[in-house]
Amino acid sequence: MKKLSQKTKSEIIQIVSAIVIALVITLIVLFLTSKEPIVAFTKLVTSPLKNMRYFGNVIELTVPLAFAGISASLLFRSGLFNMGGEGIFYISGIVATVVATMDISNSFVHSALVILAASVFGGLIACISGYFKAKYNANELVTSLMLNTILFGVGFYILKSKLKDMAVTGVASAPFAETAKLKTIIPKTHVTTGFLLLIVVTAVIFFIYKKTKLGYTIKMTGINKDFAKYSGMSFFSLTMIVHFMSGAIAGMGSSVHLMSMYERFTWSALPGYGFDGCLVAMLGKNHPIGAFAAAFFLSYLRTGSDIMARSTDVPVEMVAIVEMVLVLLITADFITKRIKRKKAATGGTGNE
Amino acid sequence: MSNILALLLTPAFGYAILRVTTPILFAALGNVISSKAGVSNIAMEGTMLTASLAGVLASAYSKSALVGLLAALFVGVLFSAFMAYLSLFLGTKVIMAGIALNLFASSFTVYILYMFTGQKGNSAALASKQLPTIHIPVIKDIPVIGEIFSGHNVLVYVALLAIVVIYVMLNKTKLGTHIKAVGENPHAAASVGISVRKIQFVALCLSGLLAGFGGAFMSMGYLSMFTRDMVAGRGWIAIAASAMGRSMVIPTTITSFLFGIFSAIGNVLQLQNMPSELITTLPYVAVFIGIVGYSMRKSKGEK
Repeated sequence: MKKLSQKTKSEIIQIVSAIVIALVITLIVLFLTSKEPIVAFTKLVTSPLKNMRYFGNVIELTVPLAFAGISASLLFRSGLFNMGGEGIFYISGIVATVVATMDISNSFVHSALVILAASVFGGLIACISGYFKAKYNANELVTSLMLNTILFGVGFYILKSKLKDMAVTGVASAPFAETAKLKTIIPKTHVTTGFLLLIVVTAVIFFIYKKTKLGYTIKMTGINKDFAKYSGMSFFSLTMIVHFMSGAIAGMGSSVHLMSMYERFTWSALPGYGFDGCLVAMLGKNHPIGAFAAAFFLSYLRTGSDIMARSTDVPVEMVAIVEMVLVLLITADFITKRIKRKKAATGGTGNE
Repeated sequence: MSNILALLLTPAFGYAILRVTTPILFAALGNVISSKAGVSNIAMEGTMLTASLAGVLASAYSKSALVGLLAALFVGVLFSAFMAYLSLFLGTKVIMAGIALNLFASSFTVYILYMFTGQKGNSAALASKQLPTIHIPVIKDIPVIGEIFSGHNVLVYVALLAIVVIYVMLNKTKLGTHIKAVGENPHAAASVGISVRKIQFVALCLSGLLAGFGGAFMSMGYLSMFTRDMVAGRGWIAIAASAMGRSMVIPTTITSFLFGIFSAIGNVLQLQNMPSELITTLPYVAVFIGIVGYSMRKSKGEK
C-alpha cells in the first residue's frame, strides 16, 4: 500500500511540474510572438472562470473529450494502439441523427434510444479493427486510421444523399426532435444530463479496473501481451471486449455531445474529438478519473485560448504547443525517474 | 464504364501514378529504415506536414526553391531527432511520442502559417517557389514511355533513386549492417560494441530526412503551396506499405506503388459523375484490405 501511495505521490509531482513547465513555455512563446503577451496569458488562464457561461463552455467541451479519452484509454491500457475513435464519433453521430429525427413521443425513451443506438453501433464498428487484430494480428493503428477516413466518407455520403434537409442551405440534417435532446441541468448553458452520464461511465470503468478480473487482465495485458493467456481469458476475447467497450463509449460520447449542443447534424469534416481523446488518455495516464481530469483541463485550456484568440492577436492553435509540451512531459518518465534517483542519492528508501 | 477504362489506359495515368506514389514512397522508405532499427517511426504524417510548411516558408523568403528543399529536409530531420530524443533518452514510448507529435503537427503548422501569413487555410499569400521539373533527354521523345517517365518534378526522380540508395545502404554498408543488427537483436548488437541508442537515433533521423523529401514534394511539387493538413493520411498509408512490405525495400516499394495506383484511380474517378465522398475513400479501402489480407496470409503461414 505504501509503495502505491509513493507512486501516486511522484505522479502528482510529475503532473504539477509538467503543468508549470508548460505554462512557462506558453509564456515564453507569447512573449516572442504577441504584442500583448501578459494580456493574452491572463486571458488564457483566467477567463474561463470569469462567468458562468464561460465555465459552462468548459464543462460542455469536457463531456466529449472525456468520453473520447476514456474510450482511448481502455485501448491504450490494454496495449492496443487504436485511434479509431475519430471515425466512430462521426458515424455514430450519423446513427444518432437517424434515431433523433424519428418521431417518438416519450422523451426519456427517445434520448435513451438515440444514445443506445449510437453506442452499440460504435462498439460494433470498433470491433472491425479489433477482430482483425485479435484474429490475424493486423496492425490496429493502421486499420483504425484507414477506417476513420472510410467511415467519414460513408457517413458524409449518407448525410448528403439521405439525411440532408433540403430546406436549409449548406449540409445539415433535419432538426433533432425535442424529445431526443438531453435536458439541461445548469440553466443558460448546454450542460445536460449527458454530464451525469459521463460521471456514471467514469465510475463504472473505475470500478471495472479496481474490482474486476477483466480490469486486472486489461492492465496486465498492457504490461505483458501474453498475460491474457495465463489469466484464463484468451487474447481474442479480451481484444474484442475492450474494442467493443471503447467503441461504445466513443459512440455514446458522440450522441451525448450532439444531443446536448446541436440542433441538427452539421459535421462536414471529422470532428477531432477521437484524436483529442488519444491526448486525453495519455494525459490521464490511461486511467478513467485521470482522463476525466485531463479532459476538464484540456477543455479549460481550449476555452481559455478561444476567448484569448477572440480578443488578442494570438491564434487559437497556439494551445497545441501547450498541449504537446504537457503530453510529452507526462508520457515521459524522466521526471519520476529523477525523483527516484534523488531519493536514492539522499539515502531515502521511499518508505517514509 | 468504357470511357473510364480508356482514361486508365492513357500515358497520362501512368504519369499520375508516379506523381501520386512519390510522397508515399518517400515516407514508406523512411519508415523502413527506422523499422529495421527496431523503432518504427509512426510520425511520418506529422513530419511530412511540418517539412512541407518549412519548404514553402523558406522558399518564399529566400526566393530559392533549393533553400526551401534544404529547409524541409532540415526540419524533417529536426522533427525526428526531437522524437528520437524523447523516446530514446526521456523514456516516452516511441508510439506515444509519434501519436502526440502527429496531432501536434496538425495544429502547429496552422499556428505557424497564421503567424507568417495571417491565413489559416493555405499559403497562397506567399510567393513560394516550386522545385523544377525535369525533361529527360532522349527518353522524353519516346512515345508513351516519354509521356509517363519524363517531365516530372525533380523529387520524383529522387524518390526512385532513393530506392536504390537505401537498398545499398541497408545491405552493403556498415551503417546498414549496424541498423539491422540493432533491430534484430539489440542485446547482441550492444555486446559487440554497437551503441544501440546511437544507431536508433541515426535511423530515426534518416527516416525524418526522407519524410522531409516527401513534405517538400507535397508543397513544392505536387501542389505549389501549403494547405492545412495537406498530407492527408499519406504518412499512414506509407506505414501500411512498409508493414506489408515487411520493412524490406523492394516489397515496400511495390506496395507503395500499389497504393499509389489506387490513389490515382480515385483521382480519375472523382472527375467522373460519381459520389466523390465515396471515391475519395478508395485508397484507404485498398490499404485496409491490403493490410488485413497480408496479416491473414502471414498468420496462416505461421500456423
